[in-house]
Amino acid sequence: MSEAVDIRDTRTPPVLVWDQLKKLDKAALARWRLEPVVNGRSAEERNITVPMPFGWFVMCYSDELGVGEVKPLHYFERELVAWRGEDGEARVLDAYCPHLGAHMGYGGKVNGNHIQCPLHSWQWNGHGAAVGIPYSKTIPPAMKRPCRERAYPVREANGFVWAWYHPENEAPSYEVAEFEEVGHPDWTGYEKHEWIVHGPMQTIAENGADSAHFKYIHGVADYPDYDIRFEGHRRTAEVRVKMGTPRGTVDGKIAYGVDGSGQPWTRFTGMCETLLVTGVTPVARDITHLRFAFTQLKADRDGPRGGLARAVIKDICKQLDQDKVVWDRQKYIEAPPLCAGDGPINDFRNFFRQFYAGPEWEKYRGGIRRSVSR
Amino acid sequence: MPTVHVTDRDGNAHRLHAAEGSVLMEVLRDGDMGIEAICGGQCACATCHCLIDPDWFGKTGARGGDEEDLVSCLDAYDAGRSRLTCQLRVSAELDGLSLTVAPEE
Repeated sequence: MSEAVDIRDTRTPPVLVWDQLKKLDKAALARWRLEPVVNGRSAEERNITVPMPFGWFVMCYSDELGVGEVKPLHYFERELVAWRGEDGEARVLDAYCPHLGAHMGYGGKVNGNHIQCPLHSWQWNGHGAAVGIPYSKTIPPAMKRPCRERAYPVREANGFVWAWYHPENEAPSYEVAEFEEVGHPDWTGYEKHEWIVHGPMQTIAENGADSAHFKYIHGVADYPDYDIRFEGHRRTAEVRVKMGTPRGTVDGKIAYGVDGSGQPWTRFTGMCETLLVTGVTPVARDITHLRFAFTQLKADRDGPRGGLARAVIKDICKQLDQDKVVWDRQKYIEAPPLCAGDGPINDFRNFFRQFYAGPEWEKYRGGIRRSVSR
Repeated sequence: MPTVHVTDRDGNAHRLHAAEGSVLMEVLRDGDMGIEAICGGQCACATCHCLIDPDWFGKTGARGGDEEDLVSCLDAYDAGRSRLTCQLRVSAELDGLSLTVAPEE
Protein backbone atom coordinates (compact mmCIF):
# COMPACT_ATOMS: atom_id res chain seq x y z
CA MET A 1 0.00 0.00 0.00
CA SER A 2 1.11 3.52 -0.69
CA GLU A 3 1.00 4.48 3.01
CA ALA A 4 4.07 2.40 3.64
CA VAL A 5 6.24 4.47 1.28
CA ASP A 6 8.76 6.67 3.06
CA ILE A 7 7.41 10.11 2.26
CA ARG A 8 9.85 12.91 1.64
CA ASP A 9 7.92 15.47 -0.39
CA THR A 10 4.88 16.64 1.56
CA ARG A 11 3.41 18.42 -1.45
CA THR A 12 2.53 15.23 -3.29
CA PRO A 13 1.28 12.78 -0.70
CA PRO A 14 0.65 9.46 -2.39
CA VAL A 15 -2.40 8.78 -0.28
CA LEU A 16 -5.39 6.89 -1.51
CA VAL A 17 -8.18 9.42 -1.12
CA TRP A 18 -6.41 12.02 -3.19
CA ASP A 19 -6.31 9.66 -6.17
CA GLN A 20 -10.06 10.06 -6.49
CA LEU A 21 -9.73 13.81 -6.96
CA LYS A 22 -6.50 14.40 -8.80
CA LYS A 23 -8.11 13.82 -12.19
CA LEU A 24 -10.50 16.76 -11.65
CA ASP A 25 -9.60 20.11 -13.20
CA LYS A 26 -10.03 23.32 -11.20
CA ALA A 27 -13.67 23.91 -12.20
CA ALA A 28 -14.67 20.27 -11.66
CA LEU A 29 -13.00 20.27 -8.25
CA ALA A 30 -14.88 23.43 -7.23
CA ARG A 31 -18.12 21.71 -8.27
CA TRP A 32 -17.25 18.51 -6.44
CA ARG A 33 -16.74 20.49 -3.25
CA LEU A 34 -20.40 21.53 -3.22
CA GLU A 35 -22.18 18.64 -4.91
CA PRO A 36 -24.35 15.99 -3.21
CA VAL A 37 -22.56 12.76 -2.39
CA VAL A 38 -23.10 9.92 -4.85
CA ASN A 39 -24.37 6.93 -2.85
CA GLY A 40 -24.41 9.07 0.30
CA ARG A 41 -26.11 7.58 3.36
CA SER A 42 -28.55 9.14 5.81
CA ALA A 43 -27.76 10.49 9.25
CA GLU A 44 -29.54 7.47 10.78
CA GLU A 45 -27.58 4.95 8.75
CA ARG A 46 -24.36 6.67 9.76
CA ASN A 47 -25.35 6.92 13.42
CA ILE A 48 -25.06 10.72 13.44
CA THR A 49 -26.80 11.20 16.76
CA VAL A 50 -25.16 14.43 17.88
CA PRO A 51 -27.34 17.55 17.55
CA MET A 52 -26.37 20.82 15.91
CA PRO A 53 -24.34 22.93 18.34
CA PHE A 54 -25.27 26.45 19.38
CA GLY A 55 -22.98 29.37 18.66
CA TRP A 56 -22.09 32.12 16.21
CA PHE A 57 -22.15 30.91 12.62
CA VAL A 58 -21.31 32.51 9.29
CA MET A 59 -24.35 33.34 7.17
CA CYS A 60 -22.47 34.88 4.25
CA TYR A 61 -19.58 37.18 3.45
CA SER A 62 -20.30 40.84 4.20
CA ASP A 63 -19.71 41.71 0.54
CA GLU A 64 -22.39 39.22 -0.53
CA LEU A 65 -25.09 41.32 1.15
CA GLY A 66 -25.27 44.86 -0.17
CA VAL A 67 -27.47 47.62 1.23
CA GLY A 68 -31.05 46.83 0.22
CA GLU A 69 -30.19 43.24 -0.70
CA VAL A 70 -32.21 40.17 0.36
CA LYS A 71 -30.69 36.68 0.50
CA PRO A 72 -32.40 33.35 1.13
CA LEU A 73 -30.37 30.99 3.33
CA HIS A 74 -30.77 27.45 4.57
CA TYR A 75 -28.99 26.66 7.83
CA PHE A 76 -29.89 24.94 11.12
CA GLU A 77 -32.48 22.84 9.24
CA ARG A 78 -34.42 26.07 8.79
CA GLU A 79 -35.24 28.46 5.99
CA LEU A 80 -33.81 31.88 6.74
CA VAL A 81 -33.76 35.31 5.13
CA ALA A 82 -30.93 37.82 5.49
CA TRP A 83 -31.12 41.45 4.43
CA ARG A 84 -29.18 44.66 4.85
CA GLY A 85 -31.17 47.77 5.73
CA GLU A 86 -30.52 51.31 4.55
CA ASP A 87 -28.66 51.86 7.82
CA GLY A 88 -26.08 49.29 6.63
CA GLU A 89 -26.97 46.71 9.27
CA ALA A 90 -27.43 43.06 8.38
CA ARG A 91 -30.39 41.17 9.83
CA VAL A 92 -31.48 37.52 9.83
CA LEU A 93 -35.00 36.17 10.36
CA ASP A 94 -36.91 32.96 9.85
CA ALA A 95 -37.81 33.16 6.15
CA TYR A 96 -41.49 32.30 6.44
CA CYS A 97 -43.82 35.25 7.00
CA PRO A 98 -45.98 34.39 10.05
CA HIS A 99 -49.02 35.96 8.34
CA LEU A 100 -49.65 33.39 5.58
CA GLY A 101 -46.32 31.66 5.22
CA ALA A 102 -44.71 33.27 2.16
CA HIS A 103 -40.93 32.77 1.89
CA MET A 104 -39.49 36.28 2.21
CA GLY A 105 -36.13 35.24 0.76
CA TYR A 106 -37.73 34.95 -2.68
CA GLY A 107 -39.38 38.20 -3.72
CA GLY A 108 -39.08 39.94 -0.37
CA LYS A 109 -37.83 43.53 -0.51
CA VAL A 110 -35.96 45.82 1.82
CA ASN A 111 -38.10 48.76 2.88
CA GLY A 112 -36.02 51.17 4.96
CA ASN A 113 -34.44 48.86 7.49
CA HIS A 114 -37.23 46.31 7.34
CA ILE A 115 -38.03 43.33 5.16
CA GLN A 116 -41.28 43.42 3.25
CA CYS A 117 -43.11 40.20 2.47
CA PRO A 118 -43.87 39.65 -1.24
CA LEU A 119 -47.38 38.34 -0.58
CA HIS A 120 -49.11 41.21 1.31
CA SER A 121 -46.24 43.67 1.97
CA TRP A 122 -46.27 43.16 5.71
CA GLN A 123 -43.07 44.69 7.06
CA TRP A 124 -40.88 43.07 9.71
CA ASN A 125 -37.95 44.44 11.64
CA GLY A 126 -34.79 42.54 12.55
CA HIS A 127 -36.28 41.51 15.89
CA GLY A 128 -39.10 39.64 14.16
CA ALA A 129 -41.79 42.21 15.00
CA ALA A 130 -44.36 43.39 12.46
CA VAL A 131 -44.01 47.15 12.02
CA GLY A 132 -46.39 47.87 9.15
CA ILE A 133 -49.28 46.49 7.12
CA PRO A 134 -50.12 48.80 4.23
CA TYR A 135 -53.84 47.98 4.06
CA SER A 136 -54.66 47.76 7.78
CA LYS A 137 -54.95 50.35 10.49
CA THR A 138 -54.09 47.75 13.08
CA ILE A 139 -51.37 45.14 13.43
CA PRO A 140 -52.17 41.93 15.32
CA PRO A 141 -50.62 42.61 18.74
CA ALA A 142 -48.97 39.19 18.97
CA MET A 143 -47.11 40.04 15.74
CA LYS A 144 -45.85 43.37 17.08
CA ARG A 145 -43.67 41.74 19.68
CA PRO A 146 -39.99 40.87 19.11
CA CYS A 147 -39.75 37.14 18.57
CA ARG A 148 -36.68 35.21 19.76
CA GLU A 149 -37.80 32.04 18.01
CA ARG A 150 -37.72 33.79 14.64
CA ALA A 151 -35.06 36.50 14.98
CA TYR A 152 -31.33 35.81 15.18
CA PRO A 153 -28.80 38.01 16.94
CA VAL A 154 -26.41 39.21 14.21
CA ARG A 155 -22.81 40.45 14.28
CA GLU A 156 -20.55 41.56 11.50
CA ALA A 157 -16.84 40.87 11.94
CA ASN A 158 -13.84 39.84 9.83
CA GLY A 159 -15.78 40.36 6.59
CA PHE A 160 -18.54 37.94 7.55
CA VAL A 161 -22.15 38.22 8.67
CA TRP A 162 -22.64 35.99 11.75
CA ALA A 163 -25.87 34.79 13.31
CA TRP A 164 -26.31 33.28 16.77
CA TYR A 165 -28.15 29.97 16.70
CA HIS A 166 -29.44 28.35 19.87
CA PRO A 167 -32.14 25.67 19.62
CA GLU A 168 -33.69 26.89 22.88
CA ASN A 169 -33.30 30.56 21.90
CA GLU A 170 -30.88 31.46 24.66
CA ALA A 171 -28.96 34.72 24.29
CA PRO A 172 -25.30 34.68 23.11
CA SER A 173 -22.92 33.41 25.78
CA TYR A 174 -19.74 34.73 24.12
CA GLU A 175 -18.81 37.19 21.37
CA VAL A 176 -17.32 36.82 17.87
CA ALA A 177 -13.52 37.27 17.89
CA GLU A 178 -12.05 39.90 15.55
CA PHE A 179 -8.71 39.75 13.74
CA GLU A 180 -6.67 42.82 13.00
CA GLU A 181 -5.13 41.31 9.85
CA VAL A 182 -8.52 41.31 8.08
CA GLY A 183 -8.84 44.56 6.16
CA HIS A 184 -5.36 45.73 7.27
CA PRO A 185 -3.53 47.57 4.42
CA ASP A 186 -0.48 45.26 4.76
CA TRP A 187 -2.64 42.16 4.22
CA THR A 188 -4.36 40.90 1.07
CA GLY A 189 -8.11 40.75 0.54
CA TYR A 190 -9.67 37.33 1.11
CA GLU A 191 -9.03 34.40 -1.18
CA LYS A 192 -12.22 32.38 -0.68
CA HIS A 193 -12.91 28.64 -0.90
CA GLU A 194 -15.95 26.66 0.20
CA TRP A 195 -17.19 23.13 0.75
CA ILE A 196 -20.40 21.38 1.68
CA VAL A 197 -19.34 18.54 3.96
CA HIS A 198 -21.80 15.72 4.51
CA GLY A 199 -20.82 15.28 8.10
CA PRO A 200 -21.61 16.84 11.48
CA MET A 201 -19.84 19.90 12.91
CA GLN A 202 -18.25 17.82 15.65
CA THR A 203 -16.49 15.45 13.28
CA ILE A 204 -15.03 18.31 11.26
CA ALA A 205 -13.85 20.13 14.37
CA GLU A 206 -12.32 16.89 15.67
CA ASN A 207 -9.83 16.99 12.82
CA GLY A 208 -7.43 19.24 14.72
CA ALA A 209 -7.36 16.91 17.71
CA ASP A 210 -6.87 13.83 15.53
CA SER A 211 -3.11 14.13 15.27
CA ALA A 212 -2.50 10.67 13.87
CA HIS A 213 -4.53 11.18 10.69
CA PHE A 214 -2.24 13.87 9.26
CA LYS A 215 0.29 11.32 8.12
CA TYR A 216 -2.16 8.88 6.58
CA ILE A 217 -4.71 11.15 4.97
CA HIS A 218 -2.56 14.15 4.19
CA GLY A 219 0.79 12.48 3.84
CA VAL A 220 2.67 14.92 6.06
CA ALA A 221 6.20 13.70 6.70
CA ASP A 222 5.82 12.97 10.39
CA TYR A 223 3.42 13.01 13.29
CA PRO A 224 3.34 16.68 14.26
CA ASP A 225 4.10 17.83 17.79
CA TYR A 226 1.36 19.87 19.36
CA ASP A 227 0.16 21.73 22.42
CA ILE A 228 -3.60 21.90 22.71
CA ARG A 229 -5.35 24.00 25.33
CA PHE A 230 -9.00 23.87 26.23
CA GLU A 231 -10.32 26.87 28.11
CA GLY A 232 -14.01 27.72 28.45
CA HIS A 233 -15.51 28.28 25.01
CA ARG A 234 -12.06 28.56 23.38
CA ARG A 235 -9.74 25.85 22.15
CA THR A 236 -6.24 26.77 20.98
CA ALA A 237 -3.35 24.76 19.70
CA GLU A 238 0.14 25.10 18.40
CA VAL A 239 1.30 22.48 15.95
CA ARG A 240 4.86 22.18 14.71
CA VAL A 241 5.02 20.61 11.27
CA LYS A 242 7.51 20.03 8.53
CA MET A 243 6.15 21.65 5.40
CA GLY A 244 7.26 20.67 1.95
CA THR A 245 8.42 23.50 -0.28
CA PRO A 246 10.21 23.70 -3.61
CA ARG A 247 13.35 24.35 -1.55
CA GLY A 248 12.92 21.35 0.68
CA THR A 249 11.31 20.79 4.02
CA VAL A 250 10.84 23.82 6.25
CA ASP A 251 9.90 23.89 9.93
CA GLY A 252 6.53 25.55 10.08
CA LYS A 253 4.30 26.56 12.92
CA ILE A 254 0.53 26.40 12.82
CA ALA A 255 -1.35 28.16 15.59
CA TYR A 256 -5.04 27.59 15.56
CA GLY A 257 -7.96 28.48 17.72
CA VAL A 258 -11.68 27.96 17.77
CA ASP A 259 -14.23 30.07 19.56
CA GLY A 260 -17.35 28.13 20.32
CA SER A 261 -18.24 25.65 17.65
CA GLY A 262 -18.32 27.82 14.54
CA GLN A 263 -15.37 30.22 14.49
CA PRO A 264 -11.99 28.61 13.88
CA TRP A 265 -8.93 30.51 12.75
CA THR A 266 -5.42 29.39 11.85
CA ARG A 267 -2.17 31.31 11.64
CA PHE A 268 0.63 29.79 9.56
CA THR A 269 4.09 31.12 10.22
CA GLY A 270 7.53 30.03 9.16
CA MET A 271 7.58 30.49 5.42
CA CYS A 272 4.66 32.69 4.46
CA GLU A 273 2.53 34.60 6.92
CA THR A 274 -1.05 33.45 6.40
CA LEU A 275 -4.26 33.86 8.39
CA LEU A 276 -7.07 31.47 7.60
CA VAL A 277 -10.44 32.60 8.92
CA THR A 278 -12.91 29.73 8.79
CA GLY A 279 -16.67 29.79 8.90
CA VAL A 280 -18.30 26.49 9.82
CA THR A 281 -22.09 26.53 9.72
CA PRO A 282 -24.50 23.63 10.30
CA VAL A 283 -26.92 23.13 7.41
CA ALA A 284 -28.39 20.09 9.15
CA ARG A 285 -27.15 17.73 11.84
CA ASP A 286 -25.26 15.77 9.15
CA ILE A 287 -24.42 18.57 6.69
CA THR A 288 -21.96 21.42 7.26
CA HIS A 289 -21.08 24.46 5.14
CA LEU A 290 -17.40 25.24 5.42
CA ARG A 291 -15.79 28.48 4.22
CA PHE A 292 -12.06 29.15 4.11
CA ALA A 293 -11.02 32.81 3.81
CA PHE A 294 -7.29 33.39 3.47
CA THR A 295 -5.43 36.63 3.95
CA GLN A 296 -1.68 36.84 3.51
CA LEU A 297 0.96 39.43 4.20
CA LYS A 298 1.19 41.38 0.93
CA ALA A 299 4.98 41.41 1.22
CA ASP A 300 4.87 37.60 0.97
CA ARG A 301 2.06 37.22 -1.53
CA ASP A 302 3.19 39.91 -3.97
CA GLY A 303 6.93 39.47 -3.44
CA PRO A 304 9.43 36.86 -4.58
CA ARG A 305 7.74 34.27 -2.35
CA GLY A 306 4.38 34.75 -4.09
CA GLY A 307 4.46 31.28 -5.61
CA LEU A 308 5.05 29.78 -2.20
CA ALA A 309 2.23 31.88 -0.73
CA ARG A 310 -0.19 30.46 -3.30
CA ALA A 311 1.14 26.96 -2.76
CA VAL A 312 0.41 27.20 0.97
CA ILE A 313 -3.25 27.97 0.28
CA LYS A 314 -3.48 25.28 -2.36
CA ASP A 315 -2.05 22.70 0.01
CA ILE A 316 -4.43 23.61 2.85
CA CYS A 317 -7.42 23.35 0.51
CA LYS A 318 -6.13 20.04 -0.78
CA GLN A 319 -5.99 18.74 2.78
CA LEU A 320 -9.60 19.77 3.26
CA ASP A 321 -10.54 17.97 0.04
CA GLN A 322 -8.84 14.85 1.36
CA ASP A 323 -10.69 15.11 4.68
CA LYS A 324 -13.99 15.66 2.89
CA VAL A 325 -13.67 12.37 1.03
CA VAL A 326 -13.71 10.63 4.42
CA TRP A 327 -16.18 12.93 6.24
CA ASP A 328 -18.81 12.60 3.51
CA ARG A 329 -19.21 8.89 4.23
CA GLN A 330 -18.01 8.60 7.81
CA LYS A 331 -20.02 6.86 10.48
CA TYR A 332 -20.12 8.41 13.94
CA ILE A 333 -18.41 6.18 16.49
CA GLU A 334 -19.81 7.22 19.85
CA ALA A 335 -17.15 5.56 22.04
CA PRO A 336 -14.14 5.04 19.76
CA PRO A 337 -11.51 2.44 20.70
CA LEU A 338 -8.63 4.93 20.79
CA CYS A 339 -5.10 3.59 20.89
CA ALA A 340 -1.76 4.94 22.07
CA GLY A 341 -0.68 7.55 19.53
CA ASP A 342 -4.16 8.83 18.84
CA GLY A 343 -4.72 12.49 19.65
CA PRO A 344 -6.77 13.93 22.53
CA ILE A 345 -10.04 13.06 20.83
CA ASN A 346 -11.98 12.40 24.04
CA ASP A 347 -10.80 15.71 25.54
CA PHE A 348 -11.94 17.40 22.38
CA ARG A 349 -15.37 15.76 22.51
CA ASN A 350 -15.85 16.68 26.17
CA PHE A 351 -14.99 20.25 25.21
CA PHE A 352 -17.29 20.30 22.20
CA ARG A 353 -20.29 18.86 24.06
CA GLN A 354 -20.64 22.13 26.00
CA PHE A 355 -22.19 23.58 22.82
CA TYR A 356 -25.10 21.15 22.74
CA ALA A 357 -28.32 22.51 24.25
CA GLY A 358 -30.46 20.49 26.60
CA PRO A 359 -30.24 18.95 30.05
CA GLU A 360 -28.42 15.76 28.96
CA TRP A 361 -25.40 17.92 27.98
CA GLU A 362 -25.53 20.16 31.05
CA LYS A 363 -22.58 18.46 32.76
CA TYR A 364 -20.29 19.65 29.94
CA ARG A 365 -21.38 23.30 30.24
CA GLY A 366 -18.53 25.74 30.78
CA GLY A 367 -16.08 23.49 28.98
CA ILE A 368 -12.95 21.87 30.30
CA ARG A 369 -9.66 23.41 31.35
CA ARG A 370 -6.82 21.32 30.10
CA SER A 371 -3.53 21.40 28.23
CA VAL A 372 -2.28 18.43 26.22
CA SER A 373 1.16 18.25 24.63
CA ARG A 374 3.10 15.82 22.57
CA MET B 1 -80.44 32.49 28.91
CA PRO B 2 -78.95 36.00 29.11
CA THR B 3 -80.21 38.62 26.71
CA VAL B 4 -78.00 41.12 24.86
CA HIS B 5 -79.41 44.36 23.43
CA VAL B 6 -77.58 45.28 20.22
CA THR B 7 -77.78 48.41 18.10
CA ASP B 8 -76.46 47.66 14.60
CA ARG B 9 -74.65 50.07 12.28
CA ASP B 10 -77.95 51.21 10.74
CA GLY B 11 -79.31 52.12 14.16
CA ASN B 12 -81.72 49.17 14.37
CA ALA B 13 -82.24 47.56 17.78
CA HIS B 14 -82.02 43.76 18.28
CA ARG B 15 -82.45 41.38 21.19
CA LEU B 16 -80.18 38.35 21.10
CA HIS B 17 -80.25 35.38 23.43
CA ALA B 18 -76.81 34.12 24.32
CA ALA B 19 -75.82 30.96 26.16
CA GLU B 20 -73.72 31.48 29.26
CA GLY B 21 -70.05 30.85 28.53
CA SER B 22 -70.34 31.65 24.82
CA VAL B 23 -67.99 34.18 23.21
CA LEU B 24 -69.86 37.43 22.64
CA MET B 25 -68.21 37.95 19.23
CA GLU B 26 -69.60 34.60 18.04
CA VAL B 27 -73.09 35.50 19.26
CA LEU B 28 -72.97 38.80 17.33
CA ARG B 29 -71.44 37.20 14.22
CA ASP B 30 -73.91 34.33 14.14
CA GLY B 31 -76.77 36.79 14.77
CA ASP B 32 -75.79 38.70 11.59
CA MET B 33 -74.99 41.90 13.44
CA GLY B 34 -72.39 42.88 10.79
CA ILE B 35 -69.38 41.71 12.78
CA GLU B 36 -66.57 40.61 10.42
CA ALA B 37 -64.43 38.82 13.03
CA ILE B 38 -61.77 38.19 10.39
CA CYS B 39 -59.20 36.61 12.71
CA GLY B 40 -61.66 34.21 14.29
CA GLY B 41 -61.15 35.38 17.84
CA GLN B 42 -57.35 35.67 18.28
CA CYS B 43 -57.40 39.34 19.32
CA ALA B 44 -55.58 40.11 16.08
CA CYS B 45 -57.86 42.08 13.72
CA ALA B 46 -60.14 44.32 15.84
CA THR B 47 -63.11 43.78 13.47
CA CYS B 48 -65.43 42.71 16.33
CA HIS B 49 -65.16 46.12 17.97
CA CYS B 50 -68.25 47.27 19.88
CA LEU B 51 -69.07 50.26 22.04
CA ILE B 52 -70.56 49.14 25.34
CA ASP B 53 -73.23 51.35 26.91
CA PRO B 54 -71.58 53.34 29.73
CA ASP B 55 -73.88 51.76 32.35
CA TRP B 56 -72.59 48.32 31.40
CA PHE B 57 -68.97 49.03 30.52
CA GLY B 58 -67.63 48.52 34.06
CA LYS B 59 -69.27 45.10 34.29
CA THR B 60 -67.33 43.82 31.25
CA GLY B 61 -64.04 44.10 33.13
CA ALA B 62 -60.79 45.69 32.01
CA ARG B 63 -59.34 45.52 28.50
CA GLY B 64 -56.29 43.27 28.23
CA GLY B 65 -52.93 44.58 27.04
CA ASP B 66 -53.25 43.28 23.47
CA GLU B 67 -56.87 44.42 23.27
CA GLU B 68 -55.92 47.91 24.41
CA ASP B 69 -53.07 47.95 21.89
CA LEU B 70 -55.47 47.09 19.06
CA VAL B 71 -58.52 49.20 19.83
CA SER B 72 -56.51 52.30 20.67
CA CYS B 73 -55.42 52.39 16.98
CA LEU B 74 -59.02 52.63 15.78
CA ASP B 75 -60.80 55.85 14.75
CA ALA B 76 -63.90 54.78 16.69
CA TYR B 77 -61.91 54.13 19.88
CA ASP B 78 -63.66 55.33 23.01
CA ALA B 79 -61.64 54.71 26.16
CA GLY B 80 -64.82 54.47 28.27
CA ARG B 81 -66.78 52.18 25.90
CA SER B 82 -64.53 50.19 23.50
CA ARG B 83 -64.31 46.40 23.79
CA LEU B 84 -63.31 43.64 21.40
CA THR B 85 -66.16 41.19 21.77
CA CYS B 86 -63.91 38.19 21.06
CA GLN B 87 -62.46 38.89 24.50
CA LEU B 88 -65.82 38.76 26.31
CA ARG B 89 -67.71 35.72 27.54
CA VAL B 90 -71.43 35.87 28.18
CA SER B 91 -72.34 35.41 31.84
CA ALA B 92 -75.36 35.83 34.11
CA GLU B 93 -73.87 39.15 35.28
CA LEU B 94 -74.05 40.43 31.71
CA ASP B 95 -77.75 39.57 31.30
CA GLY B 96 -79.28 42.73 29.79
CA LEU B 97 -75.94 44.01 28.38
CA SER B 98 -76.44 46.84 25.94
CA LEU B 99 -73.98 47.69 23.17
CA THR B 100 -73.59 49.31 19.75
CA VAL B 101 -71.60 47.76 16.89
CA ALA B 102 -68.72 50.18 16.19
CA PRO B 103 -68.54 51.85 12.76
CA GLU B 104 -66.51 50.13 10.05
CA GLU B 105 -62.97 51.51 9.93
